[in-house]
Parts: sequence; structure tokens; C-alpha cells
Amino acid sequence: MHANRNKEVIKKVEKGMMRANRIRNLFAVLAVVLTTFMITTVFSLGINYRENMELTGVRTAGSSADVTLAAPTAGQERQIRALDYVETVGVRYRVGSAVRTNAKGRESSIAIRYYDETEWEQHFQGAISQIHGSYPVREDEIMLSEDALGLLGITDPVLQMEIPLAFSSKNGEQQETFSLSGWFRSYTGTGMAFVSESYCTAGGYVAQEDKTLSLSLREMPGDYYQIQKDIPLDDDQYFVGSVSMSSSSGSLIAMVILLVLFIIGSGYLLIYNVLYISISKDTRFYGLLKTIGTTQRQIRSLVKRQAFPFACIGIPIGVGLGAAVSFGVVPLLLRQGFEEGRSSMDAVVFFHPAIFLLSVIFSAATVWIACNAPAKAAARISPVEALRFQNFAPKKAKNRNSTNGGKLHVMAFHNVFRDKKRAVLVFLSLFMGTVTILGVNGILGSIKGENYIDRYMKYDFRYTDLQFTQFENLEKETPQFDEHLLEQLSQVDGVTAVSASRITWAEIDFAPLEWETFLQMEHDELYQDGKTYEEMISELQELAAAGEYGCYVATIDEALVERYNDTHVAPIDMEAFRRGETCIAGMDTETFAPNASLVGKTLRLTSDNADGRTADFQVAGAFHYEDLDDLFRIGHRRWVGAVPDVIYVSEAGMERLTETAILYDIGVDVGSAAQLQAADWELNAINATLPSGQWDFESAVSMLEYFDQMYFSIGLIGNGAAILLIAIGLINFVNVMLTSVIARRNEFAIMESIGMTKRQIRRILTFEGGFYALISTILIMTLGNAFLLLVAEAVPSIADYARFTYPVGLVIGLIAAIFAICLCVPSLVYRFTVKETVIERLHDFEN
Amino acid sequence: MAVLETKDLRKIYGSGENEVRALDGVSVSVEEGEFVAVVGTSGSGKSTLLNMIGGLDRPTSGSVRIRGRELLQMKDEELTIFRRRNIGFVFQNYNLLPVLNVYENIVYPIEIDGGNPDTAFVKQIIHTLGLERKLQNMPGSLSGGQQQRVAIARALAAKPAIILADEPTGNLDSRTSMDVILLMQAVSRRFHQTTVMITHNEEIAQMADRTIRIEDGKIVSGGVGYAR
Repeated sequence: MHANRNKEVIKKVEKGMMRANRIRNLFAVLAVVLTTFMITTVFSLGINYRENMELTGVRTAGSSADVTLAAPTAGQERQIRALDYVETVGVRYRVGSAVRTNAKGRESSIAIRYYDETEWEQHFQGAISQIHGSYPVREDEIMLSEDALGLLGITDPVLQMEIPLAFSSKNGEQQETFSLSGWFRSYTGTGMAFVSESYCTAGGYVAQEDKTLSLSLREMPGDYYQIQKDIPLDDDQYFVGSVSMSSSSGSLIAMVILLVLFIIGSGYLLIYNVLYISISKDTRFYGLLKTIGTTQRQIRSLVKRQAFPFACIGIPIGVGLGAAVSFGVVPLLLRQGFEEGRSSMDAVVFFHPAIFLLSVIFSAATVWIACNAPAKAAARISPVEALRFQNFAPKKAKNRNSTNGGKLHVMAFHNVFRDKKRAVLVFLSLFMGTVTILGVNGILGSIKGENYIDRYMKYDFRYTDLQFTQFENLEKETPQFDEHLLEQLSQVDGVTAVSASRITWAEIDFAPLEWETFLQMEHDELYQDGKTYEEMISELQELAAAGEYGCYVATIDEALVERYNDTHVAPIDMEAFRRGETCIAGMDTETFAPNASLVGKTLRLTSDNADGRTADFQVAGAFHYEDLDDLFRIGHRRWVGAVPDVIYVSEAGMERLTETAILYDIGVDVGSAAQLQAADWELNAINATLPSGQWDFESAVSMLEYFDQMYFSIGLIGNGAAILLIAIGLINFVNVMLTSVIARRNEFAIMESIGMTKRQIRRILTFEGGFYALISTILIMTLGNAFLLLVAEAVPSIADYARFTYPVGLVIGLIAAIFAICLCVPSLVYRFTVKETVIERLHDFEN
Repeated sequence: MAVLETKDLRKIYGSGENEVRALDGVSVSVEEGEFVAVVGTSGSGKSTLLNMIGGLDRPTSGSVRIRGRELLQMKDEELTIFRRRNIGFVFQNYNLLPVLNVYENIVYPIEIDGGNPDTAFVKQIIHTLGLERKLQNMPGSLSGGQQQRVAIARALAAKPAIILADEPTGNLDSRTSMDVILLMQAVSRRFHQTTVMITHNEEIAQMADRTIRIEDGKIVSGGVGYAR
């Protein structure tokens, strides 16, 4: 073996080639830039998306702790601190609360708390942002959230400014003047105030029973279940776990990996094509190099070394561009969304050096793989073959029994599949791009606000009386709405229906012997800890004697009763119900259905309104929770236990009890979605005139706004990825078309020389584009639709209101776009690349 | 009547000191059915002349008439269509379309012209050139001589006014070369096909009815034809 002594010469050749191929170098660098840029963007968007989802979860929960336990005993606390899977233990003390009226005239409270250092630094700081100043140290210092500042009417907070605050605590009503030690932005929507440790110690707020422990566990949710087993709790104690929103991160990682692989594939094709074209142009040159004694290995390294500068220039530029987009453009969009009120979170951009490291590695790998094949091809060129080399010539010339191969469309079809690898890549990229867009938008579309409204909002607008939703509401209710409001509502433009439900509290004549099954079931459920059946009965009898054995009786929409009849075996006699002779008791569950045992029995009800009367109602049926899904949850005035939770009657039934039942639930519907916004304005104007009190107004419009906010950033990033995919698909297509047109220049020249017009050649190319589009469309309509079917099946697990609708418009639009592009690009490429005369191109070929 | 007539054809590349006169006042005429060879050394301008005649390249000045039509007055698109109806090309490197099989290659010029091939005529050509058994082959699987025969068949199939052959035997060994030339001669006679062939091989040029000699862009001898 002879030592190779021509290294210096090879270097010179390499330099000469680089100089001679300026345009190719430019394209190759662009290809590397593009690949690196896309990889960087996908990595950083993916990581940021995941982190922002987690951050959003932490912020809305108000803490990064996993579990809290209120009022732990000293023993429990010791045990908890000793557990090895409990990573940090923060302590919160509740000091008191101050009630203020907000800008909308509603009452809102500021919770005053003290957090120890662990809680503040490790659990709470992650859930807030824009921290000014520091946590209170002196006894008179206070720190407020922006919401609390707003409630106190402070718009321009200044450190050390005086904060006079009236609040209630376990020591009674307090009046203090604090000095502002700092403020921050929180995302829970409630006002928060923090005071110092010394203030709490002085005020005696740091007793064991005022404590809430907040824990971060090693692994959720496994450790959450474990701690419930490990720490014995008292009856009234329970661990509260916060829900994490990061459950979808697994599929996100899969998505990112898929995208990156896809980009690597495309980048590979881009770089490969650029190098391959340049090599096939230089075939004779490589043949010559070999003739004069260059080894295969040297030619391989000659090609690869040319690729090295491309990577050195292209990768840093690509990473820079990717960084600019992911740290400049995307956060800008997200922030703008936040400031314009379209997003509920101001996003934080996370810097991970890993993003760049990974991008560089993957891009470098892509360049390496991409130049490997052309390098081998160049090395394999034999000096003799070099003369006859014809790019794109079919490798295996199988005979073909056909006579119509000269027809333009047949030729085009054969051309599409001349290089099968390329064809498959184009189909795949067009197909995958489209399907991903359809998938992303299918999912986003299925969880859109309109679906939530359809599922959960019975009415477009709804007024509810909050007094009736309380678990216990010991005072007698004061009406929040009146007939005048109903009148006003029905006169709002576009309103087509106003439905009103009324309610009263009614005493039930206690008949323990008659209801034994019912009472026995209730007893078994409620008093597992030992209170005997007899003890319960005597307690209930005491209540009955005091006139406190009873529940709320409410009117109900007849449609719900009709729906009940559709889903239950024993239907309710609609006529009797309408006449007011029967009632329906609620609410049972699958495993616990005491109300069902009351069916057929007669209840004697007495309304406690001023004009309240006594009337007998036969129980015609028992509602399940599911029957009343979309209904207002009615609570109790006094929690009795062994009594129907609520009794429903018809309007006529209500009139038998009282003429003055309280309006507690008003539904307002408008004719069309277009009228929603205007109606919303009018209703809000009416609301401003209502006395502020314990009522709630639910609007489809604000629900939609809320949903828009919630999905703004998801939509932005999802569609960003989709646009990226479209771009990849198009780049692949243009790249393949460009390569194939350039590679076939000679062939086109032959065709022209034997009399084919340029227009005919453009028609062949247009046909080729048409085939690409057609085959991609077939893939989309078959495999793509199968994928969408999977998405549709997965959708209900995202959210119970999610409903998948096939994106017809989008599918048609995308397919139209694919056709438009595929039909236009090839002949445009031809027009731009084939400018020389036939003779020049034929000569090119001969050389 | 002359099928082909060029008058004072000039093709000048560059200007001033770098001026190259590839063709310098070439006047040639070829009669119907003639088999003419154009001979000259490398760089003499013979290929340029052929390209001018075939309408593949445009001269600096002068005129080219085929069947009385002036080529230089035609627009590109019109010229292409005229070319596919009136001129058949045979190239040194065959220039067959790799995606088409032999039969498809032969009838391709007729098909792109929107016409239906004259099947009987095409069969006759195929028979004459001995390609019956190769019709389904792809060009890549044929030898050089076979490929050139396909190219000749392709040039003949559209019944052109004139066949222009540019060094048709340039890539073939001497025996195959002779076979191909004999075929071309036979075809020319049989179908009364006007043929202009470029060659630098004197032996092959001898087979033609007439030899036009060209040197430094000028006709040295044989420029004007005579009826056979």
C-alpha cells in the first residue's frame, strides 16, 4: 500500500470547487439554515408550550404545592415531615379577610395570610409574577396582590405607602394601618394580602389549628394516594390535591419528536438534493479526478468537506433565527394576546440551553447524513461511466408493454414515480402536514367554547340566585329578582324566550313508619360511625317538631320531565304532574337511590312563605344527578340529612303551596348567535341597575371570551406547528420539483429538439403536479380520515363537553390549496430554470 | 425542387478581437430524396450549420428555407411545431426518452403533434430497421447501435421533409457504424427521404449521394446539389 501524498492537492481542489460553486453553496447554506431554524423552533416551542401549560396550572392553582392539609395536629405534622416522598413542607396561616366592593359592584374579599419562608419561596413564588418589593418583615408591613390593590382602589402603588385596612379575624373586627412592603401579580382572581411573622406572633394567629400544611410530593398522583394511607386523619380533616394541567405532556413530547424527525427528513432531502445535483453536474470532473489517481475515500471526504463550511455557517444562523422567533416573535404574540385580553396568562419564555444543544446536534447530524449518500455516489463514479452519466436515468430498465407512454398524462405519471423515494417523501410531507393541521384544528374545534355552551349552558344568559346554591343557608332568603326584571328581559332586542323557575322552602310532614326504606337507606349512608337508626329518628322528630324538617321545593321545566320519561323505565304521568298533583324527588345516584323508594308515597308539604299553604303531593318519580346535569344545583336551608335533597313540582303544583315563590333561576335565550353580543350589552346595562346582592349572571358571550382566552396560546402554538408543517410540505414539494426539473433539463431539451413545444412540456409538468396533488388527496381522504376518526374517538376524553365535528371547510380548503400549488409550481419552476436555448442544454448533456 | 435551401448563412459569436465566425456565408441547397453528407474537421462549423437548418439555433444573418418556408421568420412556438412536422433529428448520443419504451419513443413525435401514427408506415420502418423484437424494451436496455436505430425510426416516423443526422455513428464501433449508415442509406432510398448527415469520417461520407465540405465556416465544395 502506498501512502497518499496528495492531501495538499485535494485541499486545493476543494477550495477551487467551493469557489466555482457559489450558487450551490448559497443554496446548501440556505438549506442548512432552514433545517436548523425549524428544529430549533420546534424544540423551543415544544418545551415552552409544556412549561407554560405547567406554569398556567401552578398559577391558576395559586401554588406549586401538590397537597394541602388544614389544621393538622402536631403529631400529624411530625409524621408528614418524616415521610421520605414529601419533598417540601410549607406552612400557611390564615389571619383574616377584608371584604371590599369591586369595580363591578360585587363584593369580593381579600384573604390576609402569613406564609412561612418555605411556602413563600418554594410554593408560592412560582404561581405569581411581577414581584415588586419583598415579603413583609416588620410587624406593620403588608404585601398585596394586584387584585387586592385594585379592590382597595390603589392604582399607583408605592413602596412604604400607608395601607389602612379594616378586616375581620378570629380576634374580631380589626382596623390597622400597614406599610406596603411590596406587591405582585397573581392569577387566581382573588385578592391576597400577606403580613409578617412578627405580626402573626403578636396577634396570636400562629396556633396549630390555624395552620395549613402545603406539601410538594415526589410523584403525583401516586404519592397523593400514598399519603392518604400513611397519615391517619380526623373526621373533618382531608387532604386537598391540586389538579395538574400537564397531563398531555406525553403526547406533546411524541408530537415534538415526530416533528423533529420529519424536519430532519426534509432537511436531509434539501441538502442531499443540492449536493446531488452539483455532483451529477460534476460527474465528469469526479471521473477525471479518479483517472488521475484520487482514491474513493479522498473523493468522499472531498464532498463531505465541502459540506462542513455549510454546517459551520448555516447552523449558527439557523439557531439564531430560531432563537429570534421563539424568544422574540412568539412571546411578543403571547404578550400581545395577554395585553389585549385575549389570553388569561402572560406567558413566560423559558430559556433552555438544551434546546440549542439539541438543535445543533440534530442539524449537524442531518448535514452529515445528507452529504453521505452524494459523497458515496461521487466516489463510485468510474472514469469511463462518467462520460455517459445521465442523471435520473432509470436504474433498472424493465420492459414495458404499452403503446400509450407518449401521452402527456401517462408520461407525467411515470415521471412522478421515476424516483420512488422522492415521490413518497413528497406525498408523505403533503399528507402529514395536512393531517396534522386537520388534527390540531379538529381538537381545538372540538373543545371550543360553543360546544361547552351547548353542553353546559342551557340558556344563552342565565340569572341564578346564589342563596339557593349554598350547602347551608340558615337565614330566610330574600328575593333577588322580581317580575319587573322578567318584563325588562323579555323586551331586550333579540330575546326570544325568558324562562323563570321559582322556589320555596317547604316543611314535610315527617312519617317515619311510612318511609322506612328511605330512612333506613339514608341512615346507612349518613351514620356509618355508630349513631343508631332510632337515634336518627328521634333527632329528625325533634327537627320536625321545630318545623325544620323539610327542603326546597322548586318548579322545573317540563322538557326535563319529558326527558326523564325517555330515560327511565317507569314514566311519570305528565298530565298529573302538570296539574300539580305529583312531585319528583331528587337526587339519587347509581349506587345510592333512597328517593326511588319514595315513589308512590304521598308527601304533605307546607310552604314557609307568608301565604304558604299545605298540600299533598304524590311522589311520581326520582331524579338522578345525571337527569339534572344542566340544572342549577339546589342546596339546603338547613342540612337535615335524611330528607329528599330537593322536590320538584310544576307551576300549578307551586301555586298549591304559595303564590309568592321566589324567582331563583331565569334563563334568557336569543334568536341567533349574531344577536348574542348586542343582547349581552343590554343585559349588562340592566344588571347595573339591579341591587348588588347574592346573584350570579352567566353569559354565553363571556363564556366564549373566557374560552378564547384559555385557548389563545394553545391555538397560537398549535397553528404555529401546523404552519411549520405546511411550510415543510411545500418546501419538500418545491424542492423535489426543482430538482427533478433541473435534472431533466437535458431530457426536456431532447423533447424540444424533436418538436415538443415549451407549452407541452409545461403541461407535462402540470400533470405531474396534478398527480402529486391527486395522490396526496387520496391519502388524506383515506388514511387521513382514518386518523381523524381516531381523533374523533379520543376527543371525548379531553373534556366531557368536547364534540368532534369533521372540519369539512378546512379539508376542502387545504385540498384546494394543495391542488393550486401543485398545479402551479412545476411549470413556474420550469419557466425560471430553463432559459438557455435547446442547443446549450443539449451540449450540457453531451459534455 | 430544393427541399432545403440556405442563403449566405452567418453565425458570429463574440465581437472585435474575440469574434468567431462559426458560419461565414454558407449557401447550400438539397434536393428532395437526396442523401447528403456534410464533412469537416472539428470546429469547422458543420454542427452549427445543422443546428441552423434544424431551427435549433438562430443565425446572425442569412436565410434557411425548408419546403419554401423561411425558418427565421417563425416565432419559437411556431418553429417548434414546424420542426416536429418537417424535421427529424438523429443525434450522436441517440437522445431517446428514458421513460418511454422503444415503440413509444418512435411514435412520440407524432403523438405530441396530436396525430395518430400511420401504423402501417411505422410497422414498415420498424421492420426495415429490424426492431420488431425490441418494441417493449426501455432504451437503457439496448446497445448503442440498437438505440441509434430507434432514433432513426423516430426521425422517420413523422414523415419529415428532411432528416438531420449529427454524427449518427460517433458513439458506435466501426462495424455497427457501417450497419447504421447502410440502414440510413436504404431508408433514404426506400422512403425517398431527404437526409443530411454530419460526419468527420470520410469512409462514411463516401456512402452519401453528395458530400458537402466545410472548413472554417465556409463551404469548400459540394454546396449546390443536382437532381439524381
